Amino acid sequence: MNPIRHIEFSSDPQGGAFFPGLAKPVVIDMAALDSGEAARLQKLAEDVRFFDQPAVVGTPRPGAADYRYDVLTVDDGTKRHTVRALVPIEDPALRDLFDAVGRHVKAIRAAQRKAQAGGKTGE
Amino acid sequence: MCRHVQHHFNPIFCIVPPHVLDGIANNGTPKQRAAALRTKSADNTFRALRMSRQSPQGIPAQPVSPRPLAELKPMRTIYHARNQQNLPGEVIRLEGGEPVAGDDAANEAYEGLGATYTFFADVFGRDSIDDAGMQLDAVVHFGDDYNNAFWNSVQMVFGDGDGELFNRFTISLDVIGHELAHGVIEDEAQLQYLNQPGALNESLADVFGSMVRQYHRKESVKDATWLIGDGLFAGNVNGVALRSMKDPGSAFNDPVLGKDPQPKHMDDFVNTFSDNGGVHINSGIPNHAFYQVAMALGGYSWEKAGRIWYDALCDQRVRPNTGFVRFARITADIAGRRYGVGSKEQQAVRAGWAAVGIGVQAADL
Repeated sequence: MNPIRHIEFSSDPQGGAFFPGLAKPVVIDMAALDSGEAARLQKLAEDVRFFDQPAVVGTPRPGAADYRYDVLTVDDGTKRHTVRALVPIEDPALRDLFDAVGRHVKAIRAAQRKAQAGGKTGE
Repeated sequence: MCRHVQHHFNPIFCIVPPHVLDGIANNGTPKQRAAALRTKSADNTFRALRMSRQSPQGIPAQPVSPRPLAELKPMRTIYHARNQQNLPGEVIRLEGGEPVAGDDAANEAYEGLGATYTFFADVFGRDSIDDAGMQLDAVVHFGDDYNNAFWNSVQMVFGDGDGELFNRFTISLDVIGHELAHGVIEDEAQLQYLNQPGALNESLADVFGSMVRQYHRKESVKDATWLIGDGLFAGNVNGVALRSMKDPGSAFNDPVLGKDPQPKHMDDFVNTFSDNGGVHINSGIPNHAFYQVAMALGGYSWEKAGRIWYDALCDQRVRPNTGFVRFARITADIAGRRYGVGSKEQQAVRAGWAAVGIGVQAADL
């Protein structure tokens, strides 16, 4: 796998409600991460052979409801692959990758809220 | 369900989900395989018996549990997932056990399951999800910062929330009622979780979830908030709840979450591939119809509007692909049979559906 350039994360369906804001993919620019964290995400993606993963991982049982699929797209400049994974994700290695990306997504959304709040204060 | 298996009772398999039984049937020792196949056979036979006893066309649903109403009581088990994603986790509270010290989620789940069981038992004479005393299992502290609660067809699973957008998902009784109602809906109607049948499935879970809370608090239709999931948002989110049955589309408007997308009229029905075809979006339409009917009839929602909706859910004419119009016609027909053709109850049902753009004519019934 070449060095990853971007990772996109979203959820669909999102679980017990639909939030338009959370349906929009959050893009992680690997160049903007510190080198240690970028290397960690790179290794997690390589360990799980992300580009060899099926497009959909996991199927809800009949009768299940309010379940969530997390959607991850990895782009290394030459390849781009998307995996939709039913939560809970059974493969521990794949779960580790989604969890690590999820922590970045949480931080990005918190920063987004802070920026919005700052914008309002300045108005 | 297991207590109906008289001839091949096997306590080990009573709480084992079907997919595990399949695995044992395929890969176990000869003795294990034989036991698993007997259990599956008994389970399927019992389910067929239940199907044959479903409420036929237009006849109000009757309880099928052999236990007298006075003896109905829940069998709850609460599991702790230790913030992992392995189900079900460790047992931390059993039926009748003491509250778990310092664990609000575990105790809210226990009490919420009890309140939901009590609602269905007291109001409809229903003995748990399957009307046959099914054990109620809930898993709390699922995952790391997990923002969801779901029904996986075996148990209810609750995340702690990330503290940024959501609080713990056990905080809202109507959410617990909603998840358990999905089990009831699957048991009775097997509504597809896609497009209009999926939105009807979601709406029914909201309707019964809301009534669980109203019944627990003994709230009249005028006193009820008609919100689903209030208290669930973390403090800095601009919103009051996941959904509003009174005013769909008004529950939240937040920089991160976006604006509540629920319509309350067929004119604004959302065609989308997201969210399994908008199951959590278009559910606003039948949700608002129920609200309109309940408000028109007054008093307590579960006494008339809820009874009509429950009878409709149990009616054989509700099929896995049933959409809004078919369900509306069934509710109007049931209102006529239960309270009289042209009664104020039937008129209220027709008016409630008309308010969301779904006409039910006398010729349709």
